[in-house]
Amino acid sequence: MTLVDRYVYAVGKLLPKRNREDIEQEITSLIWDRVDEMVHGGLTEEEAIEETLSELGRPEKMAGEYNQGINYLIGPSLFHIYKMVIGITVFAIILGLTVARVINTIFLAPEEVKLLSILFSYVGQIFQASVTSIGVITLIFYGIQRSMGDELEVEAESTWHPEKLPDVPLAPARISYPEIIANIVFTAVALALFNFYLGRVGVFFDPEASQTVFLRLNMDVFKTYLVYWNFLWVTTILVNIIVLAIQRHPLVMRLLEKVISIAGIIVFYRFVTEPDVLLPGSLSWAQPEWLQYTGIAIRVFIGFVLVVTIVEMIQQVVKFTRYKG
Amino acid sequence: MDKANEIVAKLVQEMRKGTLVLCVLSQVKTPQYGYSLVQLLSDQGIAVEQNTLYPLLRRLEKQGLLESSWNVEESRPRKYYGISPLGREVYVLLHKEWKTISQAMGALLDGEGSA
Repeated sequence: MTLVDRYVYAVGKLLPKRNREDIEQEITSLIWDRVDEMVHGGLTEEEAIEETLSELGRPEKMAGEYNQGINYLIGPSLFHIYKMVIGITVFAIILGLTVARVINTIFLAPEEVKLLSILFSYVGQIFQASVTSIGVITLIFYGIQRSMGDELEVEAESTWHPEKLPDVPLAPARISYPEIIANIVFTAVALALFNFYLGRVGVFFDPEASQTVFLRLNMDVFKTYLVYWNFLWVTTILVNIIVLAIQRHPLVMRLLEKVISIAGIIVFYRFVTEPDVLLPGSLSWAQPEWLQYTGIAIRVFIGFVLVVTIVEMIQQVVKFTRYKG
Repeated sequence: MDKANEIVAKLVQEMRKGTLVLCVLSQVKTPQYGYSLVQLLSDQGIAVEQNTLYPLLRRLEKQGLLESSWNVEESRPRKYYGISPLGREVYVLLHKEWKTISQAMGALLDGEGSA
């Protein structure tokens, strides 16, 4: 087998089957035309072949020239959506697995907590889940590209008009995807945790028992408040989905989020100050002054969070007013 | 200077690529096979990279600007490309555009110091 055959084979295997034979035959003929001329000019056939193949360049480059226009997996009209989907998916995976891992670790008995092995399996899980998801998403997009890629390009070209360009949102109304996705994921986790794993809520460490125990909540009281929380969490998720859909984060939405936060804080305060929030005897082991200090600490903390939230609301209004001005 | 030459070489290559379709269409009134076209253009001072020209011939054929046929009567089979009626039409329009661009470029470059 000559170098020419090997070169033609190397190019051919990178070409689509339907044109392969014809192109291979043509390249072969063209190579020998050039070789003949070089031999006529005084080179040996061997030298001429080497020289000719060097002029033609790497088989990949040569095949790439023949494949122009079809040598990508995902075309320009789909690529930005593909990148966005990948970004959101990987972010959600990292966030979801982190939250799950933290919750899991909290509920492990202290002797079961082996940080290094937890860390390794956590990183491994994230890697495996990300690679699998990216692979699946790529396959789906590749399928869309192959089945209707050309139509999408034509459609995108023919329906585009400058008037369709979206307005540039004011700087403070620009959307931060990580923030929105984090809000949705965390809120969904809270919804799931409080509605389906209620028994695991209320973790507390009892130094005498040297292990993690759970506060025994009065479920009737808790369930009364859970209705309010569910309403607030669902509203939060809806607000964030709307922000994602309209691709901007306007003042009204930002204020609505703060109002939801304040409502959440108030509901929480009312809940923890309910006299029968815990079943009788739940805190019999605790020193009375601990309970007193804990009560003060909770009030101070709630007050602090409330003040911070109100300050943030004012900041948002000022920012938007300044930009509009 | 080496860097400048390097950049110029790349830009010249781009410029040549941009004019290659017009060059090819101008030379295939009589059907040519790939290598004969390389020689024809080279004889007239247009250096062409073979790995650019051969695939280009197929693309022009796919667009309907060239027609091809295999000639098996010579020492080895060769694929000949000739201009199609659509190719002739495109060539006339392209030639006109080239003249306009060439004139505009001439005026632009001659008056470059006036700004």
